[in-house]
Amino acid sequence: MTYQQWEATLLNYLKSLSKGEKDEIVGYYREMYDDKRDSGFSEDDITAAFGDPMLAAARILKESDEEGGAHQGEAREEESAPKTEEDVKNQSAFAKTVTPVLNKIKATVKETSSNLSIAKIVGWFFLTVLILIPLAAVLIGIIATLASLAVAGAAMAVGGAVGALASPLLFAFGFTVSGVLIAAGGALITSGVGAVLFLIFYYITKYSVISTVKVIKYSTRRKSK
Amino acid sequence: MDAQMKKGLLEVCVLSAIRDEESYGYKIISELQPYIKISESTLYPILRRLEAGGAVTTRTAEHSGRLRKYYRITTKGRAKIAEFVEDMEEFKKISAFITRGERL
Repeated sequence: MTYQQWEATLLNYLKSLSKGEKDEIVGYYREMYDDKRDSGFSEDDITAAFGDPMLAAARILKESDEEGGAHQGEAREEESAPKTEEDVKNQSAFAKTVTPVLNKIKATVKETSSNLSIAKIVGWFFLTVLILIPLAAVLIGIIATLASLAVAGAAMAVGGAVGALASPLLFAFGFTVSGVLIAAGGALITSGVGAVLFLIFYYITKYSVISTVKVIKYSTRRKSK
Repeated sequence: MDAQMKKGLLEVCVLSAIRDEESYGYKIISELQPYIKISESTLYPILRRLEAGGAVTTRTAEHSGRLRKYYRITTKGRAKIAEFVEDMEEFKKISAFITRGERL
């Protein structure tokens, strides 16, 4: 590839660095490129010698990470992330949702505030207290409401069924046949409506939880290289 | 050569290339060519590490209408070379033991 392409690809992977750092890196490679051209190497030879720009970027980022003392953060992140497929399966659905979100937050905070621990603390504060907790509360509230509607439906279904079954007992209280039939019919209708309500809200709740999980997973997916 | 071993040697090799006089990127790689193969992308992080650790200082100057960065060794850098030379004495003994089974 041409040197311009190589350099552009490299810079694409180094977006998290400051302008000063990027200028330094570009200066280094341009100087090297010019010197090698003067020595008679072709553009293709030179970019081949430089290697994969992604690997070059990875080495540079690793170096600046270590300088920033973010080693501890990296180690902690490695510990909490699942290592094997078994680990992934054994994690509960809750952990599977929460862990990528937490890792994504850690990574974002680390990237954007690489050398300042104060910025890290502030970033964490805003993210968790002002955004995450209210967001989680709203989501939990909505899902709980949906779930309770399903439960109410279930209660109606059960209550109505009991009422229908027990209606013959009403004879003992002196109700007429038509009275008992009306009572039994009303109970059955309640039961039927309750059953329908329960089913509707059961599936709405289930779908809401699944789609919330999917949205979280999508937004915290690892970006492809 | 084993990757781990190479990693440890690279910094001292680079320092040795600038021990007697300051040098610049391409010249350093060319000088090291006969001894150890190092790519430009490997050299950059090493130079950065050396500078961050105070073993090397840099200055940028114009050369043939372009900018060139020169690297100069510091006292700390020389101390690093000296430390390596000491380690090599120890290493020689270990090497003799491994290759020829020589015992002290």
